[in-house]
Amino acid sequence: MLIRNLVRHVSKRHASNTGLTSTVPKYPPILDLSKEAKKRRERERYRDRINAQDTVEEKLFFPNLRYYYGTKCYYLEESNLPLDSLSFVKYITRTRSIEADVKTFQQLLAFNASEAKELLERIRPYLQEALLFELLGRTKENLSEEKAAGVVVERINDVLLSSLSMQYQHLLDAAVDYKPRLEAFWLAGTFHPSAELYKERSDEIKRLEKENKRKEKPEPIDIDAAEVVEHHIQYIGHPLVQLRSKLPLTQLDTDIVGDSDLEWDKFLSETYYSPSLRFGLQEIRRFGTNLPGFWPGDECEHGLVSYHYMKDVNDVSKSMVEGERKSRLTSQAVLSGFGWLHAQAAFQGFSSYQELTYPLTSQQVITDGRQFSFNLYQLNTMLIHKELNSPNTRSNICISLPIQPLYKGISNNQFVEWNDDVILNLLGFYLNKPQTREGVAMKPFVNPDVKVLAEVDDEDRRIWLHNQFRHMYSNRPRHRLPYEIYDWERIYKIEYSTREMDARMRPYERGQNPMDERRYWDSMPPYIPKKFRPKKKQWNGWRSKFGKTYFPDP
Amino acid sequence: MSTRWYPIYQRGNPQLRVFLPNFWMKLVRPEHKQPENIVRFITPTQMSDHDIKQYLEKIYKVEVASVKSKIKEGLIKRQRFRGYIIKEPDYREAMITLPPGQTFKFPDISTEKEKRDDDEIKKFQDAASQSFDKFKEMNKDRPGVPGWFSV
Repeated sequence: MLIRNLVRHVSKRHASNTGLTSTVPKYPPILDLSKEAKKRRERERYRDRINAQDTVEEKLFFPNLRYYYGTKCYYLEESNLPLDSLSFVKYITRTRSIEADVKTFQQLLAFNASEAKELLERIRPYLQEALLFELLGRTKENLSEEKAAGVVVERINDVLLSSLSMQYQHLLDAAVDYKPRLEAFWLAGTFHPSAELYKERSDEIKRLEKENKRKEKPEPIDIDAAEVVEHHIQYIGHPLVQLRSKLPLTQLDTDIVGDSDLEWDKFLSETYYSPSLRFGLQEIRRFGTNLPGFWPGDECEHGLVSYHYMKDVNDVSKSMVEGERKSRLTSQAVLSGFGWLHAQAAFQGFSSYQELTYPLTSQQVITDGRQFSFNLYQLNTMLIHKELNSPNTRSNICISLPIQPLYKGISNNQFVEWNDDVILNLLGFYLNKPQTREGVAMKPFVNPDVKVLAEVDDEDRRIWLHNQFRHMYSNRPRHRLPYEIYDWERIYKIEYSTREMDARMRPYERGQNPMDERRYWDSMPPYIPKKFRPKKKQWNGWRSKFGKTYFPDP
Repeated sequence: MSTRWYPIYQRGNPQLRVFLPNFWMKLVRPEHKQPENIVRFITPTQMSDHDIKQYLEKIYKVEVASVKSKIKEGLIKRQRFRGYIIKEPDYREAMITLPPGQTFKFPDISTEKEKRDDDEIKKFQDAASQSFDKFKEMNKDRPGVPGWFSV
């Protein structure tokens, strides 16, 4: 009591003193109190909370803690993109896609033609021999087309690496992944509401209007049925092979290609259709994952080249095949480039809410073993969601070459019409040397003392977080079936109240929605059997029977 | 519509040919902000995606890029006097995607008709108010005299 009084007295005196002595009064900032501005401020606070996490793993772990059953998202898989999806893909990745000619492409890569030609002469016989062996010398009965292409790609990569790595240090240091996990999760732009959401909102408006009629003083209805929405996107890529290096690739000089994408301006001003109406996509619940093919803490954390499988288009009518092939190829290039770089950027401490402070570049080869498509991708922005304080003027860019065949056929153990240009382009990708970014802080939002989880001192916390993070990223379903409202309940209790006397025990009868309100940590911590607990004489509460958890502050 | 069962495919020739299919497809009003190259239909639940595609391509010569359909629950309502719950039959909703470059606009029939009806009602209202004004003008010297009283 005495202490409390003392503190009160001191604080009062302190407060009065400061009030008297300061000449300029300090007012709190005047804030815009509109609904939109509040949402934007909320988003900023959320971003700051992610940035305040120390390690990369915690930054990846944090956004998934919002929902116990996972975040609602649209699931896009590289091998299974919807029909005619190029405009959608460009919209959700904020990408300009440009088709360039070989000369511009080589200019972008700072390509040394004479050096490459010399190398080509040296490599060609080995490459041809290896490929002929793969194509003719092995049975392909049990191989799917994708696996057959994968084998060819692996062989090409082997030959190039083995013949170049003695000469080029960056290739000697590069890490090679075969069929790595490529996953990216982000929040994208403005979409019109889906039919279900629109109906839900209109019904709510109708209900409120009906209620208002009964009231003496009607309340204003603050719902707009047509209000635009954001969607989380989960992309799953299937690279065949990927190469990583310790340093990032240099930034592209995109002024060379200019603004040749005609659709681009139209895109920025428009709101996109709901993906459920446009493509029949369904939202699923999932823990968002950002993985560029390795775990945080790996030395080689910047992408060099990745190879992807070019799937043939055979599910559309003949008249549409040509257009669809082109559109699907570009969509694949855009998504694989964006997905890979987004995940890499996430490992540098950036996120859908925190804008990049420097651009990142990657190189994609899309091939079926014979046809090759070369793409360069530069990630300039990661802010694609709608709650922005100022409009985003940046855009990402994807530059592609037209498809080139490596050879036409094989006869008498010889390639027919072998195309050296393909190998030259490949060499261009391999010889593009990653460099240190001078004067750029690569990880401005990661704590420099504790960059990854492995550097955390507290052993219990480190092990616990590691296990939890890996478990979350495995995306196993929750132990029990998720909460659902059964059909009979919906019909007989929600839509028509026919069971007035039933006890109101279920969450929807108590104004709760577990799917949206239950947080990730909303469950019992693991029980610790008595023999593993430290012996204590007195009762320490029931909580001492359970293990400790280290969730970040909610 | 024929009264036949939809014939099950049998191998060999001659094939049974269908001139009047058992199926029907109802073109319905688009949802809020539905893309222009998407067309919404309601069909019987028995119809498969292949049937829907064939129906549009073979009968109406409409090129179809893709079909996505799902079975939807029929309307549930309460019986008016006895208060029990009744349900209308389920139906299949098909979303047809037209090939790139093609669009479809749902004809605006009913709103035009509504507008016509509104105009007619307004005409009646105007006529009524005009005749009332005339009546008031006639009777302004004799306040309180009922309308039926006249010389």
